[in-house]
Amino acid sequence: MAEDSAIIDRILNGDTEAFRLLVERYQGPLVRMVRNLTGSESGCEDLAQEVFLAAYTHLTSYDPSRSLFSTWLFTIARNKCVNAVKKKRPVTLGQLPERAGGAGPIVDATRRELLAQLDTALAALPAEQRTAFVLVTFEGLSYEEVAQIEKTRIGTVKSRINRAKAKLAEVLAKFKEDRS
Amino acid sequence: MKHAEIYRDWIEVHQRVDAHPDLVANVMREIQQAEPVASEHVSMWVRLIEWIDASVWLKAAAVGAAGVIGVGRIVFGIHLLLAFRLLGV
Repeated sequence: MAEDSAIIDRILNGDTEAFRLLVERYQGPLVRMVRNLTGSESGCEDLAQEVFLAAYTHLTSYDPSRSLFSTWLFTIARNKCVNAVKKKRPVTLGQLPERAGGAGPIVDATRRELLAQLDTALAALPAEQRTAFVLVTFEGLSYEEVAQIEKTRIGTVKSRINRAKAKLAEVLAKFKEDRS
Repeated sequence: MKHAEIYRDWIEVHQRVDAHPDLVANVMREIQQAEPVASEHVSMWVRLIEWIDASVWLKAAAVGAAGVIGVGRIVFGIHLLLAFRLLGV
């Protein structure tokens, strides 16, 4: 499999079609990241497309000595997602869905309800905590890569993730308490 | 089902998001319509540097030329100084 830098050289020398290799390689992680950062299924494909187009048109500004191509691409995606989320109405922890009452197919309903509450809690997190949590937990990036994307220190990334986890744990604990 | 298991499920669900099969084709269509990524000016310099970098002899010639220009400037400077002295300026 060709290295990213070799593909980028080909593109910069006029082989536009080589960009397809980068899109095929990163479409999965990128769409997943956009979907998880914006918390919305609708429009995440369009946003991912915008990210690829921005990467293509600014490819000359990519410096391989400063970061991996994937880190650079994820930084563009992160910025676009933050802007997209800013345009939407913010969700607060106070807006978490009401708990379902009564009996019924308890396990499924409980599961669905808790998943929905976790999604809402994730969307309600401050942008920097949500980004750090999503990139490390869902995308599997290292703390170092996230620190590069967020232009901050590794310690800051760790503390943001810990705070995000604490808030999600609160949701789990509250749910458990309500159920018992 | 325990809440910890549901939490793990939630993480797995978010790790399983897939791209739409048309995404690659859509991106490539947009790119065909976009401006070429490298300008001629940049390409020319990149090619020139690569060309010099490719040959040891060219690199040696470039260093030699720089040396000759440097020494030439010093000699020319001394020459001017002497000329001004002779003219009594």
